[in-house]
Order: sequence, then structure tokens, then C-alpha cells
Amino acid sequence: MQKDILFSKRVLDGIQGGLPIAIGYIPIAIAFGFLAKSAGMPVLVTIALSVFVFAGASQFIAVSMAALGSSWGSIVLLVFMLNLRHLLMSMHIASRFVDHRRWIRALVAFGVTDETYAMLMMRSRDLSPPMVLSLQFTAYISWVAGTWVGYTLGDALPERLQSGLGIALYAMFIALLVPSIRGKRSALMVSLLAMLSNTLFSRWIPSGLAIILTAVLIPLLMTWLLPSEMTTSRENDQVENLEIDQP
Amino acid sequence: MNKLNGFLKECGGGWCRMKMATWELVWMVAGMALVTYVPRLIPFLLTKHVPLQPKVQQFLTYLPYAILGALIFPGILSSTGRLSSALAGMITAFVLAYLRVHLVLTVTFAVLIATVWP
Repeated sequence: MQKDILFSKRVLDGIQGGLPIAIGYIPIAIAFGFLAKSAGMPVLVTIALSVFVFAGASQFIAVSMAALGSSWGSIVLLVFMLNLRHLLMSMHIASRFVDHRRWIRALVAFGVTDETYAMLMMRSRDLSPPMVLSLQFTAYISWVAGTWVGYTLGDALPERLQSGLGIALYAMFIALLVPSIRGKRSALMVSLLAMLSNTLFSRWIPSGLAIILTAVLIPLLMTWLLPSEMTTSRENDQVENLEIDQP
Repeated sequence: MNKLNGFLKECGGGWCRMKMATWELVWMVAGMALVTYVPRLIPFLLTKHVPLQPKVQQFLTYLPYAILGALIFPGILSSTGRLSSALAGMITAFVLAYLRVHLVLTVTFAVLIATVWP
């Protein structure tokens, strides 16, 4: 009986934590679903992206790149680099996750996103399976449902709003980037350099390749120039600074 | 500016419709799912902490900033079809993000501004 109470308590805690994320995901998921449809992406592929990838920024990028004629290979490569940061977030969560069952850990791993990571890191107690999975699932459901809504009902939106939604992705990037740069001059430099170089590269090579090239070259350059500016230690790694400001 | 290849028909100034074949889309989704999930999974499989080489760690530290920067520019300029509204939305997003406004509100307002801006 005690165990059941504890279980429900944890699930509730998880759902509570997942709700703000779920609410936040709705407009972005709707924007994604709608934009995917505008680009000519089939409905199953669009939903599949949200179901199997569950990574907002990279889903948007995939659609943009596909619409501009990038090959699926370069899209996958860019998505890989873009989502690599989740490796570090996962490391952080895993270090605090209490359960050792393989299949549970495999499930939890799937739900690692910027937002779920940020929310989980704010939990002061140990991360238990019921809490973590409930939190992630709440966010996940909202993401998939929002995608579907955006795809099927997006046309009903006024035309101006449809084009306004085009900026949603970039606003999300900006909202992720700016807080994480605060007070870190080297990070600011990296971002500015990347913006510059990407703009330059894009004039001669397809934008997908330009982004990949920039993403590889600029950090390499900075690592070479400023080897000890920013260090990554377990407690102090940069992913903490990729947290979104949560209420 | 747009590269023509087997998949692209001529694009106007605005949104293009993709012409990837279904099989390519399937590979894309499968590939994306794999490369997204595996990095998330690896730390949960490792039972002891495997330290990364410092140079590699350094690179990974800088990577997100470079990627986000590259993703934002110059793509944002053509995101709404009207440069002026894209600029307005962009400035809005930067200002709100700088003011530590919540992500959802930042995105919402940026979209709104981009919508109503002439």
C-alpha cells in the first residue's frame, strides 16, 4: 500500500513537471506540423518525425533542408551534430538516475530533450522511474498531438499567421541561445563567428552543407585558439547553461 | 542562389516544395531517429564514467553555440517571406530572450510580431 502511494505520488510529480513543457510544446509542435505540410511532407512522415525523433529543432531543420533540396544524408548528418548536445545532457541525467533496469534506462534515454533535461535537473531529489517517465511522457504526448493538429488544421489559420509561424523555429533557437551565452564571452564569439561564416559559406554551397561545415570548423578553430576558455566538467558542463528559463 | 539538383524544382523567393522520393524520406526519418537516440542512450549504457579527452570535451562545449548560431543566420531572414517582418520577429526574439522571458512567450511574441508587421 505504501509502495502504491509512493508510486502515484511520483507519477503526479512527473506530470506536474511535464505540464509546463507540454504547454510550451503545443505552439511549436503546431508550427512544425503546419510547416511540414506546407513543404509538401507527407502526413505519416511528419508524424513519424515527432514520434521517433522527438527533437524539435532538428525536425524543423530537416523540413527546411528537405524543402531546399538537401539530400537525406546531409540532413541526417546535421541532425546528428545538432542533437549531439543531448549526449551531455544524458550523461548528467544518468548520473542521478536511480534505477538500473536496462529497458527503463533505454526508455528514459529516448525522452531526453532540452526541456525535459532542464526540468529534471531542477528536481532536488533522486530521479525515479515513475517520475521521470511521467514527465517525459507528458511532454511527448503534447509534442506528437501538436504536430498532428498543426498538420491537419494549420490551413485554417489566417494566411498572415501562417507566414508568421515561419519564424517560430528561429525564435526557439534564439531563446535557447541567448540565455546560454550570458556572461560567456567565448560562447558569444563562437556564435557570432558561426553566423558570419555560415552566411559566407551559404553563398557558394547548399545551406545544409554550410551549416555542417560551420559547425565543425568554428568550434575547431576556437578549440585551437582558446583551449582553456571553457571547460566541461561533470557538474559544470555547458549543458547546464543551455537550460531554458523555467518558471 | 538555390542549387538545382535532381530534387529541386526552381524556387521562387518563398517556400519550396520538396521532391524527395518516399524511400528517401523513410531513410531520412530512420537515420534521424537513430542518430538522435544513440547519443541519448550511450550514457545510460555506460556503467562507469568514461572521461572524454579534454580537446574533445572542449570541442563539444563549443559545438552547440556554433550550431545554434549557424542555424539562426542567415536562415531567419527568409523565414516569413517578408524580410521586414522577419527582422522584426528576430529583434523581438533577441530582446525577449535577453530579458530572460520564458521560451514559450518569446516564441509566441516573435511569431505575433512577425505576423502583424507589414
